[in-house]
Amino acid sequence: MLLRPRYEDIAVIAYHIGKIIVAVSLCLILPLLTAFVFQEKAPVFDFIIALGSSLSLGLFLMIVFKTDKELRWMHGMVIVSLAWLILAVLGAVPLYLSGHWRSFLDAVFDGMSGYTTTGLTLVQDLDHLSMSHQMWRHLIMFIGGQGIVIVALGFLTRGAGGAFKIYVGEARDERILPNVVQTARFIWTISIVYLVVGTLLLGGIAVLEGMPPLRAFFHGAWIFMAAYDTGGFAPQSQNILYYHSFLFELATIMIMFLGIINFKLHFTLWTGNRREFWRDIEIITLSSTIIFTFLFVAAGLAKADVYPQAVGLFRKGFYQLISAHTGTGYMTLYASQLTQFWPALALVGLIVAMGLGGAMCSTTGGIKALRVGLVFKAFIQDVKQLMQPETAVLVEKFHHIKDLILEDRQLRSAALIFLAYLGLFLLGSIAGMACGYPFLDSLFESASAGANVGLSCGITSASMPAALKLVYIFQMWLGRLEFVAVFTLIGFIMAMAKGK
Amino acid sequence: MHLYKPSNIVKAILLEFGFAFLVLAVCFLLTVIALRIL
Repeated sequence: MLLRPRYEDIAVIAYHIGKIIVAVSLCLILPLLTAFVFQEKAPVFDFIIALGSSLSLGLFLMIVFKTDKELRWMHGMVIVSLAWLILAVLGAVPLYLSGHWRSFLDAVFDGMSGYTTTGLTLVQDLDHLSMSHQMWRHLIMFIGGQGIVIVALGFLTRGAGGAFKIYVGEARDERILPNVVQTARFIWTISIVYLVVGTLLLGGIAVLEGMPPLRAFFHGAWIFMAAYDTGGFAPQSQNILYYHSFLFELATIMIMFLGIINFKLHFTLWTGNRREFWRDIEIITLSSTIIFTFLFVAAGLAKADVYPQAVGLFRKGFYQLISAHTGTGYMTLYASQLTQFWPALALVGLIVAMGLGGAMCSTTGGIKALRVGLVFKAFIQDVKQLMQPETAVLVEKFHHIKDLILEDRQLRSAALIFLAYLGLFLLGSIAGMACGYPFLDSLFESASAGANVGLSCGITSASMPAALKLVYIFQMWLGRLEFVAVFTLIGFIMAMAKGK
Repeated sequence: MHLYKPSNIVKAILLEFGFAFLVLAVCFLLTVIALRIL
């Protein structure tokens, strides 16, 4: 029997959503300052309007629904799923006001793509977008990569009761430090340290390649934000191809690798325990799946003779593969080249890589290495069991920060999410085919949206059907939150309508 | 609040970059083999 939510439930949800909106809205100050510094008059008003409307909504919810009621798991899940939707819409306001998006739906698409660190975009004339709007596009990617709840916990809350329940809703079920607020602050610390290192590295390379220092600094910071948070937005329409620099490509590959590593593993390394790295199931799984999927790409490209030289094949093939596997979506070729010149085998390699994704509790999307590793371990356990006497009981172990025993409960959870992702990719593929696109292209774009990658074979454009834009927005949202929070929201709405 | 030694942070970054280089090197080797065989 469904129980209809009471006023107190709605109040606690609305109050916390208000808090999150206020925290994230304050980030609009950075692009506003950028607009002032670069004397961009029209964007100043865009960001003042966006800041005013977001803050008003957030404060309204906080004041009207003020409550000190304890959060329950259901509240945490509903808060997270609704907050991500609302922020995608609010984040789209300054984008739409810039005039570079054909419709508000297109701006919301980019808002969702940014927050979920997907990287698919419907922007028009990107090369002439203002500096402040570029800052906002990349900042929402940085915020989304950390997690919007992490932003709220990092800035607004001190010892928040029940905060862990919201944190888990964001598909981050690993607590790095005993206190969730400390965990949020560690995630911010590491990201800011890497932001400084990455900006200097990328900015320095851009200067070496002949870019003016100030422009190089901004490009360095933006590309870092999108690469580390495995997002994929770039300030130029040619994406990473714009830089025509082997060093720049190499640096972004390194940064993408940083982005797929579990924050908990980063923490272990930062505290001096470096042995953990090579023993961790996620690192072993990631190395294996990257090499395995690259085999498809390399074999496909070699067979089709797309790039006759090893260096050329490696430079193009490995870059797109690692961009797909990390869920970043940076490209060093045009989308049309993927469909026109890349053989189906190589595209399948990219699709599988996109679906697999990076580590848990990192900035990536997709099925995730821990789940893939656990499912693989379970297969091995079953085969071993068959080879033993019937009375033998086998225990399978794995190492993830510490030695753990493979339990049915973990395996069930991993297999369920694994299947849910496959279903999500299939749903998007059917939608793509219903709109008249070929199967492989539809599957590619669907996997890209559902696993929050951002590689495109050309379907994603302002001229694609509105229904498909909505499907991709839904996929990006569902894929980023890993289903449970969104399904809880659906249950909550059903309980509102049919509950007693 | 945890304090992290700068030397540990530098070593962590080097280790993570080292991992990336290792995967990169293996994949380059695979590229050469793929071109030879196919």
